[in-house]
Amino acid sequence: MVFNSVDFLIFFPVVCLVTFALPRRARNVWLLLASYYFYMAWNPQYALLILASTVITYASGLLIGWAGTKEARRAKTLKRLFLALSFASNLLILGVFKYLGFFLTTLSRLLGAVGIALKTPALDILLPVGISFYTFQALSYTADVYAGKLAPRKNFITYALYVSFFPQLVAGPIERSDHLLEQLERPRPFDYLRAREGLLRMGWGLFQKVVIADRAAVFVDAVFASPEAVPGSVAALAMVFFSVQIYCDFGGYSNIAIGAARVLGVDLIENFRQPFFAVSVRDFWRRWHISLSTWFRDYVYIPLGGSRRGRVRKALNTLAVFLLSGLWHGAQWHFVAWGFLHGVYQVAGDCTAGLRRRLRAALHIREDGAVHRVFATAVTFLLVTAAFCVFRAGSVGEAARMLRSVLLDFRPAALTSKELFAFGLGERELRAFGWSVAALAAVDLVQERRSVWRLVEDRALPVRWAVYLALIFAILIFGVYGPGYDASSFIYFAF
Amino acid sequence: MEKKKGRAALHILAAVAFILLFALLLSLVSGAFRPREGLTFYEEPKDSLDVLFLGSSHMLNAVSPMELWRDYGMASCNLAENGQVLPVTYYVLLDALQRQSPKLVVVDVYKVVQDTLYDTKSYLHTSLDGMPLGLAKLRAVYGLLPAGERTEFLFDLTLYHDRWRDEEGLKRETRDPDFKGYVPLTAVEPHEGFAVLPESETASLPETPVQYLAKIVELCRDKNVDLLFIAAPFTTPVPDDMDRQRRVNAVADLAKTWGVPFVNMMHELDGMDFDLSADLADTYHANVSGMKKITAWLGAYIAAHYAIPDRRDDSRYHSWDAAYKRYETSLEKS
Repeated sequence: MVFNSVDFLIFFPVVCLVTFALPRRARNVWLLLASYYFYMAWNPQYALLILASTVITYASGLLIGWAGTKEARRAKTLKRLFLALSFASNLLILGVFKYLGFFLTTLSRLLGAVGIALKTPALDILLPVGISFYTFQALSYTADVYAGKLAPRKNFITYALYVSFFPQLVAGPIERSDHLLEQLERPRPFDYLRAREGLLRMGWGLFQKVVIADRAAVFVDAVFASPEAVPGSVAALAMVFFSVQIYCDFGGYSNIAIGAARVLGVDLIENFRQPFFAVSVRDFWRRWHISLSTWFRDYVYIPLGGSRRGRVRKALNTLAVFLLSGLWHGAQWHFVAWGFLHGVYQVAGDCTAGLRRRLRAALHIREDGAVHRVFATAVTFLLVTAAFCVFRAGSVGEAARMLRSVLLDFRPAALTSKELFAFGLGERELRAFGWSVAALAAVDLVQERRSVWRLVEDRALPVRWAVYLALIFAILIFGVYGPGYDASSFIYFAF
Repeated sequence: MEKKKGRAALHILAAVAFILLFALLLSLVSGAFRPREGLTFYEEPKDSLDVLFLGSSHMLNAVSPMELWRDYGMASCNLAENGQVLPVTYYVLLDALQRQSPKLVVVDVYKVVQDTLYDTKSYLHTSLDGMPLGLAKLRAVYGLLPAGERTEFLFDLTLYHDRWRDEEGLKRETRDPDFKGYVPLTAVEPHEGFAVLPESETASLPETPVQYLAKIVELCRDKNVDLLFIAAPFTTPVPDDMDRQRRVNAVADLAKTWGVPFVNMMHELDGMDFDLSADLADTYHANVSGMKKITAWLGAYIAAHYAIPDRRDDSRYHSWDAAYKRYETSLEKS
């Protein structure tokens, strides 16, 4: 079940009430059951995959621990073996379910190009929801035990809950064993203040999702469905809308996850920190999908040598990480291209750092001054938005065509004429969208300095309640949900 | 420990108060977004009505309670709605009988022609939106709709919230409460020469409407309320739909087995001086002139067969006289 559904609206309060009504020892069992129920609402069979991943990584932890008791050289070999086995089998599952079709078509295309015909079997594998998320989370446990950061765990229930904890099961944040697992092992009494804060955060996440992201999606889908027919200015607007959409969709979902976990007494890691205020692409990745970028940093980039082996090696490592990140987002070439583009951005940023520094000095612009900040933020946003166009478009070619029309066929008049209302959003809706984005900007601006949740929670009750109710009714009224009201089908005086 | 318990109690109290406040606001906001006000029936004081009329648009456009007030001092209300099929009529009646204790319930049975639990969803909304959320509404929504389609009826803001996007905004259609549920049609569409089939010509009835007619009979029996079936005059597009007449005719036998009187006005046209060339607004519905004839005839029938009190001298019904005057003026204007 997804967060923005009536099912979840019933599921979540029931799970919370039962959790805190149960004796502490039974709570993790209950949460485990609830998490599997949550996951099986998509497809019961997939529970087997998550169970398999859980058992393999759980066993790998115990085996690595057992290997550690052997004499040093043998221990090292055995630990490596178990690490490799756990990674290989988990990535194999991920590979089969997420990437097999992609690799086969790519292979047959390559062979086709050199004149060999390969008949690929028709694959009918549905991508199991969240597999990329929980696989990475489970693997972080194996890696941490291997690195000696964490003692192997014996309690299977708690470990299984760590892999399947429903708030962050299907779309992150991707948790780390040293963070989430240890919290799940501690008692978590009900905390009124934390619960309030969690609920507020869930409300804001829902607002981001159903008021901002889902409305932006209407416009974005309409433009991306037939980009050839659209003036460059409208295409550019759709790209900006898509940046807002994907942030609010993903960031909103993360907020709901973090808020829901907080109500249950669990702190999840932050996943988004005002990404569009980033002053460089590297800074963007410190703010965007943080749990994934730190995963890649800790388990790929640093093991590859990170930035310690010279500039060329650093550039290659960066490219490798972002290629993988692109592939993680989806088994299609335009996702890979998106990741690659981000890698290139950063390598180019490193290469031009000296040049830019000299330019700033010549122009007497201070790097931490307001002018430079605004300029750098705007440039970063444009770069990220252009890359998201590749992410959203069906193919690299289509993205290129759109970017070309933005550059060569801008026709700005389209933005101020009625033509703008032809893409699914009427004048009133566009205006409402504008206001909701203004609210987003205001909240993010506050978040740059202090916690907006605390800001609300520290107010007196009437203010707090006014905020809660305003948020709830903004969602109920301006959210994109429900059967959709069509005035023309509501003619009361028929005939 | 004591202090902790006290604080927990306070928190629970706050949560309950917040939920109540939210529910209150939700009902206000839902009302503001609803495209029309609820049936004026829900504004009538408890246990103030003696006769209730229910059914589809045939009834809605055919019987005007204010005419009965003028002629007999009957306190009645028309709860019929466009597209109100018999299953819906049953639930509307179920709810109405919790608010009113009428002597007589009159149901137009034309919708026996239709074998569905509801007509269109928008028609179901017209019948149910005005009904306050309560046990009867829950029963209606669960009885008529499959899982997954109930939310927009129980919490209609989920449907109507989009109305802020419309050019017209939150404009609402209001029905004049002085009309006590009747909706006048002013057009005239001649249908002379329409062949009325003899009573003996019948066709088999679909299952759903019969089942719900039976439930209506049972409900009225439980509540000790007299029940009268009628079929207001109608025509049909010729020749494809003659079965509608046959089906309405078939209700006679059914009514007899249940011991419920049935007046099929298709066979009383001469007696009520109903003129198919002047008294219909369209194929199916009576216009104002038709309504006057139907209501006059039905009023006389009810007066002859049931002991409905004359409320004209009852001080609690003073407002009805003023309402009648306003009704008369606005009906003339239309």
